Amino acid sequence: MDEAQFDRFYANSYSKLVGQVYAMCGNLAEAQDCVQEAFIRAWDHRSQLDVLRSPDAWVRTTAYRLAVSRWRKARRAFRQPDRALEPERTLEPTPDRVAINRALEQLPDAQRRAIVLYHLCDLSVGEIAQEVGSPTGTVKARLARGRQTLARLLNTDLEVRHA
Amino acid sequence: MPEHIPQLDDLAAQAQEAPMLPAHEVRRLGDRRRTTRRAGLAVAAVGAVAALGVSVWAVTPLLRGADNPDWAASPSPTVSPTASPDPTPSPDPTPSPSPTDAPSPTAPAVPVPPTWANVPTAALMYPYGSSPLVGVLSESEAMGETAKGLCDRGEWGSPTTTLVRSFGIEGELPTYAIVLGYADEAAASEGFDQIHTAAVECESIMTEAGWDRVSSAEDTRLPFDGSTVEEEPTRAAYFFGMAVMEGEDVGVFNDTLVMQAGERVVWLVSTFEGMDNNCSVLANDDAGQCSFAKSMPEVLELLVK
Repeated sequence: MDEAQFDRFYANSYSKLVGQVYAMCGNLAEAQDCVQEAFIRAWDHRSQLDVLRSPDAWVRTTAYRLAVSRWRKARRAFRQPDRALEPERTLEPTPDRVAINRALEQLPDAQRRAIVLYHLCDLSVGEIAQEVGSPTGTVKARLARGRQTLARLLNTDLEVRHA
Repeated sequence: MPEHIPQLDDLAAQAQEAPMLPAHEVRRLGDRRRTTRRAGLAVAAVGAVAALGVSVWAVTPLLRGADNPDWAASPSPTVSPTASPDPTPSPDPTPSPSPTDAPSPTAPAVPVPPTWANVPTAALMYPYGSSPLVGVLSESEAMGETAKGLCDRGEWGSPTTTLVRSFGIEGELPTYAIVLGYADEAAASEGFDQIHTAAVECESIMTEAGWDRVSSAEDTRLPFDGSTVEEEPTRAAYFFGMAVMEGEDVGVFNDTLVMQAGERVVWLVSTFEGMDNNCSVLANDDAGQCSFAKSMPEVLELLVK
């Protein structure tokens, strides 16, 4: 990927990826930081980015890992030595955001990630399986369970079905 | 096309106004990171050579190539492209596109992630046999929040694949076989180092956790031979740990074996209550060889299979 290709990719994808990682991790500032850092790493590893295939997945996965890593460190800072204390997460004030954030927080990380990749990133089950490194059957189960939980918490008629 | 969840779209849309650095600044920081990373790898390699005389790890690729004057500069076919010597190095911090950066269908391969087939089975975790009650308790693709043994700080780098298989008897302290796959050898080395550092600092970890009498040490006699596999680097470390509550006549023992082969790391942890833990990393010791040390060659082979 050359400079011009990278600049186009960055300009076209940054906001979209921040939104996706935000939905995965629940913290907008953290998502911004992690996606920004992921793009810096993407340029560092530009020889690995294949413009013929979506480099979005590389940046999204890297940003997600960074967010998880930071989240773990933050949790540890609160939870040492016995990992027994659960820090309360800061929620933004918008009611809709509170509702969806709270609903997403009820999901295990893997389910939440699968829901975001499927319903926000428009990936297929197969593509999700490839991105998260899990079998397609596992992804389907995560999606089904995640939808059930979200439908209940959001009080919507979100269709619960296998992908 | 998957159906969308309106609330989820609304949430993500709030990122539209997210501030972003200019593209040229991102590239500048990326170039600086690349320079720093490569310099760090070179320093690490030099440091590893200097430490061979006293190091407890077997850094096999260095040993293998030590008699070859060109070993440090010879690219290995298994080395990640990001860690390979750049055939067109440039001191320019913002290099112009070079043939190595051009997109190509034959672009460097992403490491093959480990699978459950690479995770040790009960037969390897209990090479001397075990009770019929002992079995696989769980399998997970995440570390979770439970500490893995007494020497777990919760730091293992940034693996791209995490496979955790626990063994034991329901209600008792589990034994873990953890296989971690990373993006490249450097990332795996970072993960190995973090697990290793936590094991070195295990006494303070146990003290922080509230144990009264603790002891932990690395057994530097571990007979590790990484030359049996092609992956590089290979290294291993073995730790014994023990913690006793004041007034108790039983202790909690913790054995840790951590191995790296290329971009993969396997981490075995056994924690159990008992009166003693008499075993040795050596095969010919009267105390008998510890389970993980006995299985180590097979575990290494399984890791890269």
